[in-house]
Amino acid sequence: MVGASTIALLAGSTLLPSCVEDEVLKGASRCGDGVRQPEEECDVVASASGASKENGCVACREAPGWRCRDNVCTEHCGDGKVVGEEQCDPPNGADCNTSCRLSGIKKDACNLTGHWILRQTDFSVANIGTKGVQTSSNWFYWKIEQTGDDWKVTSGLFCGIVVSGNANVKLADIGVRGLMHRNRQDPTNPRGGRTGVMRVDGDGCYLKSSRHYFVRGGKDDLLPTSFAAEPELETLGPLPVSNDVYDPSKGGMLELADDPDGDGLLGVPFDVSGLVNGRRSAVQRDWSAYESDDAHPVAQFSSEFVARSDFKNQEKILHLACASGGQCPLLEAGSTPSLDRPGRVLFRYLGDDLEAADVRAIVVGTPGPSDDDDLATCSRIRAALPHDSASQ
Amino acid sequence: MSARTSLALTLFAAATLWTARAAASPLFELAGGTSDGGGLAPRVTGAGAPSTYFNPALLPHAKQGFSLGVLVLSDHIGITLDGRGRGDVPDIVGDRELVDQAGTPISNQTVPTRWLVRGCPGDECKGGGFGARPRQAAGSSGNTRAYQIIGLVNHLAGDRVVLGFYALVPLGTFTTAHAFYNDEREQFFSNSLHPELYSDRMTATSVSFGGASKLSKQLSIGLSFTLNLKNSADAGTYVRDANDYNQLLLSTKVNVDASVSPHFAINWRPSDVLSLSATVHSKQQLIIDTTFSALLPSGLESKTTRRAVHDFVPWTFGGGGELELSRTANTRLSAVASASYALWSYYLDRHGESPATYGSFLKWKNTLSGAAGARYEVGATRLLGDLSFTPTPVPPQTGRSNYVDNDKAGVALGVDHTFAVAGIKLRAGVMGQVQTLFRRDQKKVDGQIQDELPDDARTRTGQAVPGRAGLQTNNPGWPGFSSQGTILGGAITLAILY
Repeated sequence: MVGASTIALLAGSTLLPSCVEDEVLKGASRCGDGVRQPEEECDVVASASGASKENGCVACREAPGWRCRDNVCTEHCGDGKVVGEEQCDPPNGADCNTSCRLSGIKKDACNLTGHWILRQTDFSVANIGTKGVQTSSNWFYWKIEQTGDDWKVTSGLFCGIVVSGNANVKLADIGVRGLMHRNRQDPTNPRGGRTGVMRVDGDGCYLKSSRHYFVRGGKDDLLPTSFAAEPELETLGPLPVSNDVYDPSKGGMLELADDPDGDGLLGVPFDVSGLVNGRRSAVQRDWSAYESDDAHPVAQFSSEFVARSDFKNQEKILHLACASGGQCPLLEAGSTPSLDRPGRVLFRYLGDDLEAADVRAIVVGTPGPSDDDDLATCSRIRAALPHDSASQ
Repeated sequence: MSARTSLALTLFAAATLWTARAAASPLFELAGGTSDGGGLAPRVTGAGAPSTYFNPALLPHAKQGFSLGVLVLSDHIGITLDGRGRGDVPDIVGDRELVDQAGTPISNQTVPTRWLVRGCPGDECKGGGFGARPRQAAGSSGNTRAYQIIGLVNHLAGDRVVLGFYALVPLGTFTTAHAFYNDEREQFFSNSLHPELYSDRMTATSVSFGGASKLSKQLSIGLSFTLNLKNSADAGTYVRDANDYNQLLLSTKVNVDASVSPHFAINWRPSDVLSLSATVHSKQQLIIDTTFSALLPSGLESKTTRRAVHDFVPWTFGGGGELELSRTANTRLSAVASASYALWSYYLDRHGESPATYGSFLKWKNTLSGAAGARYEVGATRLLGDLSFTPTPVPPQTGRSNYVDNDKAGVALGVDHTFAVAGIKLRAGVMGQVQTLFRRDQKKVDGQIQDELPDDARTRTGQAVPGRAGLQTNNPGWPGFSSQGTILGGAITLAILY
C-alpha cells in the first residue's frame, strides 16, 4: 500500500492548482500621508507651511541622528550627530551633558559649589520566583556649597522614584508631593545633612559623600538618631507591620507608620504596572552614599559625572489595592539590593546663580516655599534625566 | 469458515490493531464514500464498508469482504487579508505603563503592531524574545495528505446480522489538533487565519463500526458508532525562575478516555426500483481538557483548566433515495439524490467557545446540503457520477471572529470492476472528486471589533498616548479578508469478496 500511496500522492500533487495561496494586500496608506505603516519607521509630514522643517523622518525612514517611535522622532543623543535641538553630541563629561545640551564648565577644579540635579540608579532583585532585576531611579535637586575640600548640601528636593523590570513601579504624584521636603539633606536635618569631600586626585577628582538615611511612609523615629554613626539598617528598630495588607481595619504594629501623602492609607503609594497591576502603600527605609572609584572616575572641571552609589533598603507593605480586585500575591513581594550590580549616581551641574538661564531652565522659583513650584522643578528634573532602565 | 474468510479476518485484525488510536471524524464527511459507489451520496447508496459510517442500514445489501485502499486529499484554500491603512497599536503599549482616564491600568491584552511585523528589538524587549509574527505568514492550508482506507463487511448470519467496519487512518503525521483562536487573541500565536472546517480536521483518525439487520425484504435497520476521544492533561509546574524556563520543574499526567457517538439508519425498499433511506448522526467531538498550574517559591499557586474541542461534527439528519431508471440483462441505470440537515448552530470551536460569544448575529446557521447523481452498471463494472452543494454555516464575519469557511460545490466520478484472480474474487475501484470553495469576501465593521487601546489612554505621567483615537487592533482578520479554494480527493481501493 505504500507504493500505492506514493503514486496517489504524486498524482494528487500533479493535479493541484497552484494559484490559490495566502496573501496580504497592501494598505491604502502611502509614505508621506502622515500615517505610519508597520513597515515604515516613520511617516511624518512636513510642516503645514510647506517649509522644509527638519523632523527626523526622510522617505519614511529614520534620518541619521534621529530615533522615531510612534511616528514621533527625537534626537538620538550620543550618536555623534548634532541634529534638531541638540547643541552638541556626543556628551563629553565636560560642557556637553547627557541631554546633548551645552552646560557651563566648572571654573574651579573639583569644586561642587552650585546648583545640581542628580539621578541615583540602583539595582535590586525581586523577592519572588521571578528573581528579576529591578532598576530604580531616585531624583534629587541639590544646592551645594564647598569650602576647601568639604562640601555640604544647603538646599534640596527629593523628586520621586521609578522602578522598571518585570514590573514597573512609580511613586505616585501625591507621594512625591508628600516627600519632597522630608528626609532633608541640608543642615536643618537634626540627624545630619548630606556632606562630603571633593578634592583633586591626580588628573581627576575624588568624591565621597556621607551616608544619608531616608524613611518614607514612616515617622522619623525609624531613623538613626545620628547619621554620622552610619549604623546598618538591621540594627535599627523594626519597620511597621500590617496584620492584613488587604484590610487596613485589622491594624497591626503601625505606631511608627504615617501617611505623608494624605491619601488616608498608611505608607506612601507606589503604582505598579506591567506584569502585575495595582497600588501598594509601603513604608521604606534606606540609605545611600556616593564615591568615585576606578570604574567611576570624575574629571576635573566636570559639569556632569557619574559616581558609584552604595545603597541598602528595607520595605514593608502596609496596604495593597489590586487593579483586578481581590488579592494579588505577586504585588506583596518586595526586593533586596543586588550584590553584584553596583549602583551609580549622575551629577549634572546647572550653574552657580539661581537666576542663570541653565538653572532657570530647571528650577522653578526658589526651592522650598511653594510645593507647586517644587513639583514643577521635580518634573523638569525627571525629564532632563530620564529613568535609565538598563539592568546593570 | 472458509480459507478466504480466515484470510480476510486476519488482515482485518492486523489493520485494526494498527488503528488502535482513534478520534472523531469530520474526515468521513469530507471524503464521502470512497468505495462501492457511495460517491457524494453515501447516505442513500453505495452499500459497502463506508456504509458503516454513513448508512449502516445498507450493510445487509453489501457484499461480504475486506478492503484496503489509499485516499489522498489535498486542500488548497487561499486566504487573502485586506491591507491596513490605520488601526495599528502604538509602540508605547509595550511599555506597560498605560492607564485609562480613571487611572486604571490597561490590561496586557495586546502588543505593539510593530512587534508583530518585525519582532521586538533587543533594546525594547530584554532578550529580544518576541519574534516577528507577520499576518498570515503561518496559514495552515495547502496540504496534501494520504490516508489508509480499511473496510470490512461480514454477514455473520446472512442478512439478519451484518457487521461493518470502516476507517480512514492518516499516513504520516497522525492526528494533530491545532487550537488556534478565531479573533484578536491569535495575534500572539500564528497571527493568521485558518480554514475552520479543514486544516487539522483533515488529520482526524476516523474509525466507525456497527451492525445492521434486514428485518424484511423491504426493511433494514442499522446502528453504528464512531469513536470519540476525551483527553485530559494535567501540567503542574514549579517556577523557580520565571526568567529562565530551563529551571522549570514540570509534572504531567495525561489520561485518554474513549467514548462512542452512535448513528442510526433505516432503509426501505418499497419496490424493486426504489430505495429510500433515513439517517441520524449524533454529535462527534474530540475533547482535550488541559489543567495548568504554576507554583511559585512564595507559595502562590495559580491553576486553571481549559477545554479544547476538536473535530466537532454536529447532529446531522440525512435522507434520500435511489431510483432505478432502466435495467437490462447486462446494465442498470439509476438516479440518486440525498439531503442532510446539520445542526451547526451548536458548533463549538477549538477553544470550546460558541461563535455567538461576540453576538447572536455571529451564531452559526444550520445547513441543508444536497447531492444528486447517477449510477450505471455494465457487466462487472460500475460507474458513478455525483454533484453536491454544501452551504457554509458561517455567517458574515463582520465582528471579532474570523471563522473562514465557504459555500462549496463538488463533483465526483468513480468506477470499480469485479474480477477473479486464482479463484479469489476481487473488486478494484477508483474514485476522484473536486470540491470548489466559492470566493467569499468578508468586511469588518469597526464598531464590532475589540478596540485594544481606549481613546482615553494615557501614560502614568498623564501624557496622551499618540494614536489612541479610534480603533486600534491586531485582529489579523481586520479590516477584512477573503477566501476561496479547491479540495481534491482521490481514492483507490481493492477488496477481497467472499
